[in-house]
Amino acid sequence: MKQQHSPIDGSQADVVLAGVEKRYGNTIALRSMDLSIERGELFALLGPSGCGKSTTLRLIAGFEQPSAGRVFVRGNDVTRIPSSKRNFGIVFQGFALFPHMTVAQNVGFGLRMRKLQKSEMKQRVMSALELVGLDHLADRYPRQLSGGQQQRAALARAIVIEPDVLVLDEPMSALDKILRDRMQVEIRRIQQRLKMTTILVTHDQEEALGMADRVGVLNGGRIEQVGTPRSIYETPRTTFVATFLGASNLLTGKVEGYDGAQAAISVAGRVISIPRGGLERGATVPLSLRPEKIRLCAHSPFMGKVKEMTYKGSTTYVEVDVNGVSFAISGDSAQIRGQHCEVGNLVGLEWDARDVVVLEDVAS
Amino acid sequence: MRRMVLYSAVGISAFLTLVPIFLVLVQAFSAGEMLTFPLPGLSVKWFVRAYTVPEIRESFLFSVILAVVSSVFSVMLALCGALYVSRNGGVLSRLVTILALVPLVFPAFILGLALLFFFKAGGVNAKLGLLIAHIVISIPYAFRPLVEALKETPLSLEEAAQSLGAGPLSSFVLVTFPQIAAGVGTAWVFCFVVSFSELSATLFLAGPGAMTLPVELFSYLEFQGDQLVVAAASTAQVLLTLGMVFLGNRVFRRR
Amino acid sequence: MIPAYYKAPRTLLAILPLCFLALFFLVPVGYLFILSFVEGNAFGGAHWTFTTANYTGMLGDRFYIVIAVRTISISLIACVLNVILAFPVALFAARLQSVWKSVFLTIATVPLMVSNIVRAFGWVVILGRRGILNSVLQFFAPQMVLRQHLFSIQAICFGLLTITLPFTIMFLTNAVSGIDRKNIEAAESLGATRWGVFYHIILPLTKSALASGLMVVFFLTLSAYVTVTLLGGPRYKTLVGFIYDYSATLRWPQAAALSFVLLGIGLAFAGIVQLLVSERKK
Ligand SMILES: Nc1ncnc2c1ncn2[C@@H]1O[C@H](COP(=O)(O)OP(=O)(O)OP(=O)(O)O)[C@@H](O)[C@H]1O
Ligand SMILES: [Mg+2]
Repeated sequence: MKQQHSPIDGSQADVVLAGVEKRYGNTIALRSMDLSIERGELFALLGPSGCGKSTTLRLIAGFEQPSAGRVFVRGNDVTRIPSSKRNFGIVFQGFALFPHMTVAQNVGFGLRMRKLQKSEMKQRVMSALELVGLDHLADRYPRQLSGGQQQRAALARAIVIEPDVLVLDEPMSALDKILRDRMQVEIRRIQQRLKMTTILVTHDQEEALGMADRVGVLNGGRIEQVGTPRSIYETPRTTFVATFLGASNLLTGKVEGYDGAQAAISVAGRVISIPRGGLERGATVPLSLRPEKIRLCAHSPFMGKVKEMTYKGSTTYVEVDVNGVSFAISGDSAQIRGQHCEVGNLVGLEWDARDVVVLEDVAS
Repeated sequence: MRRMVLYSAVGISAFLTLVPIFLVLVQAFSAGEMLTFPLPGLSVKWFVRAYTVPEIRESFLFSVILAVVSSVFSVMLALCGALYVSRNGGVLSRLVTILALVPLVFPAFILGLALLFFFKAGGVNAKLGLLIAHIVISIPYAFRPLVEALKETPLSLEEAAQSLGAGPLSSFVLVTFPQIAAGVGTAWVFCFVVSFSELSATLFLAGPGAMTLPVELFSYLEFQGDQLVVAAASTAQVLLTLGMVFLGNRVFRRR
Repeated sequence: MIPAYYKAPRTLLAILPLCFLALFFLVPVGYLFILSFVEGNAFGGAHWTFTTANYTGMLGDRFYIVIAVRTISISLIACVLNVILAFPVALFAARLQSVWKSVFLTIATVPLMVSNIVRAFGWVVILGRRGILNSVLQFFAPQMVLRQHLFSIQAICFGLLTITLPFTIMFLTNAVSGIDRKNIEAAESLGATRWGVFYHIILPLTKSALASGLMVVFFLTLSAYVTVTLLGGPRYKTLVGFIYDYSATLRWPQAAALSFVLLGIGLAFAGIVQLLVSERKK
């Protein structure tokens, strides 16, 4: 194997994609992707259906070859290494447990391929099963397991080989909501205990934000933004990221000028100032403002009529029309009731200047 | 009225398709000296007599061997094709599918003639010729169940094996094959039955030392041989075939 | 881009059966085609003179025309009888409960596993001079003169139905079973008679299965040499009989040409059936 250092950062990065592209005939599944995943972190690939998550994962795992670009693992170019030699642990969508083998045989398969001694194999299988809490079901067949148990078995099978990288493809999609929440916590616990570099593919934003150290948002075969869950949620870079992760008010603003480091931007006929430089005077910019960042008040420059109210238990959803621009607000039910908020009433809106995020693309 | 039409059609169809076979089976156990109805008594003497005719005995054995060997080859070739088709798209995949299924609709009679001339030109002997012909004719019968079995086996199983360190061969042997074993068994039984009863192409290609039972029976009938001997040999053939199919269903039934 | 170790064994999987079938199916049939354009007695010597005489000779010969018409007629009769018998059977089978339906299908497919020679021989047992039909007749009317029932068009048709009916029954039963009962009930609720239901609902929905069934029947009957020979005798030869005789008497180019005439007839029929099916679709 040819040793080669990654062009990005060889020391800390465990998995590096450099300019990776994938075409199927005329369709481009991935376009020129650069991605670097650090050692020991849980990295979530998040995106809607058909955006190329599985494709990325299959390239990383070695089931497909990229049309262009390279894949590095711990500094080694593995682009041409088959999956069987990459030492990745993979939990497949639907688990892909071998139906004709018991749980123990499933978990032991990777060790068998590595020609381990019987006694050591048995011991490692048992300790992996213990880790996922499945040691009492070692002799069952997959069809005799519940969904959650199958998932644990698949996880044990992937981690028992002590993989360089653990890859999870939509691991919770076959589970119901309650089980999903429990497995999220559990997978995270195991991952942190083993300090295993992990890539999680999901279309569920809650799962990605709740479990990952860092999230990469994928759209149309392109990485739109990479960052911590918090930074991705609070400062989305594009319209797509802003809307895909939770609800957002997408506003259009016009750059009126600068007041020191503050940009003055007009929105819905009012001027607000945002701590942000580098914007061209007179330009139209897309803005994002999360509904839960908006508070109702009695007096504000932004006064509007309540168009719609939906009570949702602890929170209430309100839609307010300000000069023909519609604002969605989601807030604490008690606080909103305190503001005499009823359909047809006039209310004021306020928010912190830093909660308005200037997006980089043109809002459609 | 409508009932009458339905039931009479069912009755006529059952008569046309089942009764001739049934009568052959019944007559084979006749204790008489010629075809008679009703039977004068039951015996197995015609089976013994059929066995004492060397041509029939030898052709029966040859048919069994030919069916076993040719079905093994057709299953292997069809399995290769089915593996490729179920995992790849594209021109090559479509070509394999078409070519593997065409012998199903192409008249075997004409294929036999074509192979006769081809083998004559190439100097292929009769035994090898029959083997090849039977492989070609039975490939479609193996290809279809195999493609179906492979379609039902998710590719992710094989990928899981490979990600755990299994090479292409061991992931096939240890993981994929156990999933499709029932399909392979069914395919093999189909091929065996097709080869064992093949007559149209074999008619051209059989020769001295390479004579199958159906062809032997045909010439025996044409030259006015004893009809009850033919009945007994036919019965042996039918029973062996149905036994194979029954066993196949038992052994290879889907879990 | 995709490395060799990854791709080569996969391609080999396709290449193996492809080569085998190309060599032992495509090439021989191609060779047969070439042979059909070689001069009549070229095979005694080494002369490969190309000619179309094998085909044109047949067209001009009344004898071949008679045989061809007989062959086609027999196949068409078999097709018609198949449809008349198999449709009611399929309607009957489609209404069976699931257990009985699988019993039905098992019984219906048993004949497919029995060699054609046995099935033809079954009719010899029934219709032959010393066959079961005659012994029954003699039992009831001892003074009657016994006739040979074999070697007739009827005998051929019986034999061909024995071979082809299981296919049509299987095709049509699957197609009729696939029709949603609600469609039929909807038509009935709209006032359709039983015949109307059949003509407007069942027939259009089973058309393509019927078409494939008919094509199978036509091809099978065209090339049913053994059945026609045993049950038709020397008097009622069809085209396949001559193909066999020519090949036995080493008139290979004629046998080859006749084979392609046979294939041509089959393909023409298949084309017409396809045309009818697709035209009705509009
Ligand atoms: N084998 C293939 N041949 C052709 N196109 C493909 C193939 N596999 C994927 N694609 C295309 O590539 C794009 C990305 O597919 P991919 O499976 O990576 O999506 P995904 O993000 O995993 O979606 P999902 O959440 O629905 O699984 C899709 O447009 C898909 O149609
Ligand atoms: Mg996917």
